[in-house]
Amino acid sequence: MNHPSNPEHRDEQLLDQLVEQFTQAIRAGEKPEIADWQKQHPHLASEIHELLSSVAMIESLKQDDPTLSPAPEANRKRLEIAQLGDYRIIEELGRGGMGVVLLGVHESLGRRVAIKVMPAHLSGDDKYVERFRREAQAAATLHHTNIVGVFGVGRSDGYHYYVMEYIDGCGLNRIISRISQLEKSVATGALNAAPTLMAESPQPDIGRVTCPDDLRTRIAGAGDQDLQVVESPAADPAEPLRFPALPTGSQRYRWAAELCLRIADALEYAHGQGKLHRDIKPSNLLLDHEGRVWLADFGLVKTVSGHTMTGTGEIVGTPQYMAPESFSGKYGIPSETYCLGLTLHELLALQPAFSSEHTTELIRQVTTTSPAPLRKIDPGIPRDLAMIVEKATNRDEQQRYKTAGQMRDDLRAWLDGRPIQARRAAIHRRLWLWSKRNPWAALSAGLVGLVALTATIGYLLVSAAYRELEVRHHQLEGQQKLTRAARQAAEENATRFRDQYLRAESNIQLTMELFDEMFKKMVLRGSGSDGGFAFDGFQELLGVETAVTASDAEFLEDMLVFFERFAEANVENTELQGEAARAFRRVANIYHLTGKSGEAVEAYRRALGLYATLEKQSGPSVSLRVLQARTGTEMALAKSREGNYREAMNGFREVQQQLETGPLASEIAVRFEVARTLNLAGSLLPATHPDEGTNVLASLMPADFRDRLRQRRGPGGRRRSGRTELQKNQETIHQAIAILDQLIREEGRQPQFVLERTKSHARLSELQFHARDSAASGTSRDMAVQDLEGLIDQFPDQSEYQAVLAQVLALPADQSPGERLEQLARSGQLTESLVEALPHNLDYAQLDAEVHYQIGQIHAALQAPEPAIEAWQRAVGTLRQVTGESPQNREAQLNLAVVTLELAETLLAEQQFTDARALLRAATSGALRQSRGQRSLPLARLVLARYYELLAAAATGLGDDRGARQASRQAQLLQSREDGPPPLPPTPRRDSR
Amino acid sequence: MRVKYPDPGRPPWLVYHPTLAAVSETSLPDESQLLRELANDRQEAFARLFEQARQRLRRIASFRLDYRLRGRVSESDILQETYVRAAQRIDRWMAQPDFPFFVWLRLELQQKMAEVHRRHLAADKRDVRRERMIHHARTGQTSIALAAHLVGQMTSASRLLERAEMIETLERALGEINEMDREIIALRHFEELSNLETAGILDIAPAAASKRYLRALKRMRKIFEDLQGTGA
Repeated sequence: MNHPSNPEHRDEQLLDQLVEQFTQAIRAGEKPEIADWQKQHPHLASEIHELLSSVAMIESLKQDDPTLSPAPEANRKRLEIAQLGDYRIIEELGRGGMGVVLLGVHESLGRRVAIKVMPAHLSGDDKYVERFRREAQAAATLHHTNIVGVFGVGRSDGYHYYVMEYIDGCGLNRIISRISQLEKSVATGALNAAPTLMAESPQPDIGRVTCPDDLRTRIAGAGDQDLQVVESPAADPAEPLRFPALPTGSQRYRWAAELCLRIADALEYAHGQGKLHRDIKPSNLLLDHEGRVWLADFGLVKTVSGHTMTGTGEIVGTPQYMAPESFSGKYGIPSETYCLGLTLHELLALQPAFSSEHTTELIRQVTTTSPAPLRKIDPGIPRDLAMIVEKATNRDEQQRYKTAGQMRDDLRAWLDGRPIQARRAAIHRRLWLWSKRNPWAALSAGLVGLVALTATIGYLLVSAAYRELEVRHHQLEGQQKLTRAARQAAEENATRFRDQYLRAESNIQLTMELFDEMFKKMVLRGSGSDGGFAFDGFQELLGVETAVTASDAEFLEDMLVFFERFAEANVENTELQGEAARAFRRVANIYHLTGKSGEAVEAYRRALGLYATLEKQSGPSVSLRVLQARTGTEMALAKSREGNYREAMNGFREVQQQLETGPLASEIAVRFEVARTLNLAGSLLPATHPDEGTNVLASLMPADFRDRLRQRRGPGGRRRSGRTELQKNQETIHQAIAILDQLIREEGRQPQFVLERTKSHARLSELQFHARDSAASGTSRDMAVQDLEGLIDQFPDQSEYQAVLAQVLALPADQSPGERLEQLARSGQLTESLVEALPHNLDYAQLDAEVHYQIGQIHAALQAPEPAIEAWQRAVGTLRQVTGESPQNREAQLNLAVVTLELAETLLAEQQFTDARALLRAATSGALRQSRGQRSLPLARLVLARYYELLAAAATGLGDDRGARQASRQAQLLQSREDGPPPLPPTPRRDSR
Repeated sequence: MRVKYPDPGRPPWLVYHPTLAAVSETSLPDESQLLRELANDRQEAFARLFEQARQRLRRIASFRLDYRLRGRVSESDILQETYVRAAQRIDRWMAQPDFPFFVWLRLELQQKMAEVHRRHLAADKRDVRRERMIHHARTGQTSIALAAHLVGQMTSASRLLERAEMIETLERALGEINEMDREIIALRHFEELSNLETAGILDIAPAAASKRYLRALKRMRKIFEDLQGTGA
């Protein structure tokens, strides 16, 4: 029996205690040195060594942590290399499954490098050797300021190795723990409660911390993916590693975003080189003394182009930091942005996005859940930054950033305080998902209003809070005896609020922008143009109406509710009055487009009122001047649409006067605006038939056909403008030209000025032509052509200039048929190449048809039916395509009718009955399809009647008496009824099913 | 003192927060105090005491839980059931406190876990037999638990591969020492019990437990060296 006094027993008790203490120390995360314990009890040294190394072995295995590896001496025994090729080995830095990492010095260069050596027992394994070499080769091609460089690969004394840059720093995983500790101690205010955290600095300084010894992981090149880091014997513990200030509080969010921005940039670069990192996680991101972050361990790099080497069912990576799709063997660029997202998540939350005691549970979490919302973990995390993380870590690959570059750009946008793509996408997606369930037309006013309201309320709350805070901040500043901590807290608070405030503001502007964008997109859809939206009504004056379908109209009405609510809610809000004014302007645009000109005028008036207030409050600015002018001209156009020529003209004059006599009148943009206004005013002609937009269109038709069309339509065409009006308009345009000339003289031939002047000349030419001043008309026309040729020369890729030139060349002019044909042929060449280059631009297609229509006309006048038929057939084909793609485009419909009638008559005259019948059958069925479900216009009725008349003639020519009789009956029916639904098509003969 | 910061990759219970550990692991009052508290207000006090022991019981449950049941049975459920069972039997312990309170709780846990294992593993007998055979061929029950436990803790596939060799070494070393010594190592290092508790569980004198423990460590050290010498 042992007895307490027995010395052997005392030793045993002591040993048990020592073992217990040693065990506790390891479990507490320390790295006790066995030697220290031996020194204390020299007489038990050998026993202590035996016992403690056993304990170290067992305890280290239990802990899934590389730093707690078995006692160093056990390791060092295993690799004794003094020299590898050109490198002298200093020490072992760590070891892992794929190799040992050594610190070496290049003998001749004196450069310190990290060398990854493949373990000897694997050198015989061809598969590993191959993988090892491949890794090295892949990594060696990457050169980026944030990627740990690989210098080369070698083989010496039977060892395979590769050489990397040596980075003296520590992994972000450790930094994260560190910050987490710091924040906790700051939060509790108990800095002294955790003295061990400040091991090296007795006066804890939050701003600057030293890397404690366990952070002195001389991780070199490789992150700890593959490493167990061993304490470096050469490291001098008296010289702590210095780290740049670790950020705390709200600074940390920016810091984290910056780090990840750097890594995203590195990844974008590597991806561009066809390399995937494959194991992005905090421990593979190293932070060096200077605060630079390094992407380490491209050790698992695999070329994107697909290799089968690692595709043998091995899971490469760490479950905790693996993208969900990796578990089903998929891995790509979105997986990498996902992993970077997880890292950012961890940097912000200071805890891993996924964690579990068990691998299986971990895999379940990763594959079936999303990381916890960041702002639930820490409400201080800025919302937009959280949104970036959310987007990056979406379980659906499709919803993530497509490239690391996109993520980088969003992080930069956030850092710069600009709106981020992720937010836009989130709003877009919500709207899109929602609208998928409810077609555009059903866009609920409630939802739209809700979005606006939420944004507004959020803004108001934050701005109120901010103002209050500012007041308090000022009060605080007044107090001298503020403690440093309190001041810091107050400042941090202020910063956070300011951030929120700015974000709320940009948020609300973003909402506006989005709706604005939707509005434009929808309006432009009809015209088929994909260019910028310029709702200046100019197109309309030229007879091009923006097509608005019934469902568009409904949608617009709903948009209207949004804009209206937004405008109403923000009328009083000085910061948002600009947005409110814009909203009113959009409301007006919508009314205008849906034919409610009266309401439109009213809304324009409100927008103008707000702009005026804004100008009074914040002083005049060029952009405000321009906005007011544009709104004013739009209002004048709305009046003209109401048929109120005089008021419209007064409106233009008023705008002109305000621009010329108001502030900033000498500014270039303001003067340019005057010229634009004058151009619009000069284009305005009194119309007597306000209800149909087709009036304007008809007036643009060539004179001879227009007359014929007028006869059929009866009275009500556009009144031929009086001489005085034409004269006045010419003067107005001359004024515009004078201003533009001056601007060009002063500012050089800026394209926008030149283009506007081209428009002036073109309009002037038209006016002069109508005033029968052929010479002047020709001169104006030539000037326009000259300007345009200059522009095209300068910007050969700008299709718009070519289109305008084609239009100008096709303007009506007193020319000999030969000259005219030459001009039109040139115009036709332009439009043909435009259509070829941009087949989906319906504007160009329409222009092409118009030009070819005119070409056909000249040929017909020259008694050359064959080329006329050819030109018209092209026009008909093009117009059918346009009306097919854009069924609401009335202008195209009308033009189609005009060309069809001309072509049909010529074909009949040439006795080409078969072609004529085919053409007219297609025309009648097309016209019937168009008019289905709509109130047919008298004009359309007349046109259809005419088709049937001609169809009857064609049938007669072919000897088809029955067909001729049927067609004639249809024609009579149509002509006898002035109103009512369009007639049913004749009994279908061929397509009965 | 140098302190290791919790590695986010590690399971929470393996993260030794020194202060937390101090609170949860040493705060069970001494036996007489404990008995007094229980006598005062049995249910209330028992709940509180169990709560204080929960952390350690959880670790034990995690260690002893058959790896085949991971993911099927949660440790929280086991602890919950253990609580119910112990609460029903607390009177008996109070009447006859043969073991220290914590040791008694651990026994209750052990009983409960035996029950859970029977319940679940009996269902798929074929599987069980097959798996048993593989492991029994080489080592005893403790090391099965050990290996499974270690494997279950690895959060990184590559680390697992890298540790496999060492885990195997440990397993073999454990396989070469006798059952009692193996259990002592398990209790001290994997259940992280004190010598006193270990002695209580094995029902031997503390001095004897300590002696066996030290002997086992030395023996293992020798086996490690042999294995590494031949293996590398």
